[in-house]
Amino acid sequence: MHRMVGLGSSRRSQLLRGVLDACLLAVIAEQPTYGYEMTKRLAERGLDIVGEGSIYPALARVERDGLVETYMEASNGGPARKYYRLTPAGRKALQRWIADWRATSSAVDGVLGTIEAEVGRD
Amino acid sequence: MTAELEADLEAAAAEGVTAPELVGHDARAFALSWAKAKGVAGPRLLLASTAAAALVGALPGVAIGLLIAYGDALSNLEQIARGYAPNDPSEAWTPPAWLALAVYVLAALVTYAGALAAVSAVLRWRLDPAAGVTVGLLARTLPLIIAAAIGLTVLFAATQGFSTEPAVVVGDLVIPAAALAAGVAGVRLCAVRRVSGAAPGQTVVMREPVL
Repeated sequence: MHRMVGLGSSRRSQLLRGVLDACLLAVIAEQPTYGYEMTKRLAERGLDIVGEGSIYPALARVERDGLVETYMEASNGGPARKYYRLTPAGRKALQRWIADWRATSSAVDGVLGTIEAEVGRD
Repeated sequence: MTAELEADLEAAAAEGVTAPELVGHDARAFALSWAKAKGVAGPRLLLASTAAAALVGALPGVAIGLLIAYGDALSNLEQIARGYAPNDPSEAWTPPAWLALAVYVLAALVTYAGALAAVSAVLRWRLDPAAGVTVGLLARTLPLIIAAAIGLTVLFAATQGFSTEPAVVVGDLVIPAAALAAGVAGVRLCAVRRVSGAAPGQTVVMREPVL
């Protein structure tokens, strides 16, 4: 049983690899934010599997690709925080990724959905 | 990167979230992954430094070999022992072949160890992340590189009739040095590529629970 839980976690992390950048862009599109805040907002929506610093390399990639830009903003008493906001290129990329995800998830649903009831009966 | 992480860690700590919970328990893997995504990580090639270190490290061994090859040093040992050079050529001592071979083997070993130690020292001093891989790879390939360097030199010397003319002697020195430098640089290139390819750079760094 524990092994199955481990496999499920691994599968989720594998699936997430392909869409983490898009999820980050989506969170940033809602409101400019900083790294830790993004982790919290993703966790609130069920992506608590995002952890162990995995968003930081992803943020570096989208910044390097010009999809986000950064600015520093003072925090309450603490050090200034690095905020991320979407660029026009990032907004277009997010639109494409959403369309890609819709197409992919629809196709996968089509494959899995036909057998789901049968598998569920076993 | 430091400022960003410091601010995020502080915000997390204010909510009771620990550093390992935010960046994982393997801080080194996290830092490497992030730095690589930032484009500031990964070993530098350091081809010239590595090749130069190997050449300098190989010098003592090469010097021993050259002394034997050009200096007739084994025969001179006898003169040193006697305290004088024999007038009669028939009294001159001819070193046995096994002794000459043993000294050449010693020269090769000193060359090998010296080059390896020098490369290791230089790369570790520069905190090179590919130092271990480079030295490991070099330990296995250096004998072949040295053999190739010697082979090329002998080939060149043979084409020149094993002349001791200054130009030929210069060639005898330059050719093995160039061969050694090129071979070591090639090994270094392979090591850096291997390390760069293995460095963590995945989108998600997950740690599976041991179940």
